[in-house]
Amino acid sequence: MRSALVLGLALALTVGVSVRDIAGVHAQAGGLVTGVVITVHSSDDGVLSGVALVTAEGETVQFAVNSGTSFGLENAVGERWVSESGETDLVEAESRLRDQQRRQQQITAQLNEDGSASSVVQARPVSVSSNLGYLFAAFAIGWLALMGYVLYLGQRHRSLQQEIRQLQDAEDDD
Amino acid sequence: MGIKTVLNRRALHSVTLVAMVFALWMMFRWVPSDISQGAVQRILYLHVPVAWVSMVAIVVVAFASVMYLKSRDAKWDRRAVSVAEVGLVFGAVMLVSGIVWARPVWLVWWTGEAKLTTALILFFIYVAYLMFRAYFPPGDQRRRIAAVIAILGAIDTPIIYFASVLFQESHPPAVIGPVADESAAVGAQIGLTLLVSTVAFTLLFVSIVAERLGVAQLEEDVDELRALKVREGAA
Repeated sequence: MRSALVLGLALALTVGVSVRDIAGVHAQAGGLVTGVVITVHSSDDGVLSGVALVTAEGETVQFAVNSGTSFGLENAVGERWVSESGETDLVEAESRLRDQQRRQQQITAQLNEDGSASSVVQARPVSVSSNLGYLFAAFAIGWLALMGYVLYLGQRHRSLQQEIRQLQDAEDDD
Repeated sequence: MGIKTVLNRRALHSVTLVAMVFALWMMFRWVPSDISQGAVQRILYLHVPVAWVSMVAIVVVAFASVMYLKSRDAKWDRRAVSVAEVGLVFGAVMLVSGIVWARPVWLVWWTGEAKLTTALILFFIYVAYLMFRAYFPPGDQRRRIAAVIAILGAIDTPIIYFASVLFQESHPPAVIGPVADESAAVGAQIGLTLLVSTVAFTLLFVSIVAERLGVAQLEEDVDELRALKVREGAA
């Protein structure tokens, strides 16, 4: 029980520290920003108006998009859709952005000084091989935690049985 | 412990072992890699089942607590604490696997969005429940207060489930249950693998709880023997 509590506390502290990274939402002016789409905004009349990304630093960056924004986004099977220069179909752009959001794909936006995006393109695709370390880490930690707890239970079971025997022996001696 | 109990437990462990081996084969050999996320998507076959189990576990703890408050039978309290302790371990695995998955997919280890925060709160509820039990003197008062903590803690479960609908953020939407998003429906192979791994991890949870209940019974036997010895010493 105590070991489980210590493990729990250690994990709680670790996670608690990481909570400090809670994202702050802000609009960024100028430059490149890469991240995962978390929100696709529409205006009151239902037209695509903006996007919010979460970046590698944990920041949430919002920017506006309009018919002058260029798009180059891929669907699930890798087909690339490129918008017409200066005449972007915002309905199609919204659909593509929501697809990116659903698949948690990274996109890169070139931002203007006024906070709008001049272009939105697919970021470098995820490398399957570079992911293997994370896959191994998740399963290794998961199984170690579960097996560690089972071993702890076995040890606790044995020590309690031994204690019962000792108490019964003492009872018999009396 | 009766021979029937031991045989039942062995049967349960055997079924769990077979189910887990089959689930692992499906996770790593049968189901194809996700085209968007690559190999890291397979973490979800661990994360989703343990999240499901840890959410259900707190409801089971609350149910056992209600039964204890109604009957004042210590066996319900033993069941509650056993499920809570195993639920804490599964809750920890849920958090760690989610954090490790988020880094390559979301590019961050953690965000403060509702689904993650409520899941973290669930973990803290388990910690608070067990810490209270560890440091409060044994007896009926401890059992009653712990039962109230568990019942209040179970309120977190529906909040976690509905969080992805109430607060549309970056956490993937629910793929099963009443609020499942049709646009987020997973393919047949992924769905079947998720289902089998959920069954396997649920069986693993029940198996570990069965062992923990055995330990809880022994703890109570020790307490009774100690109390008997104290009474005899006093006499």
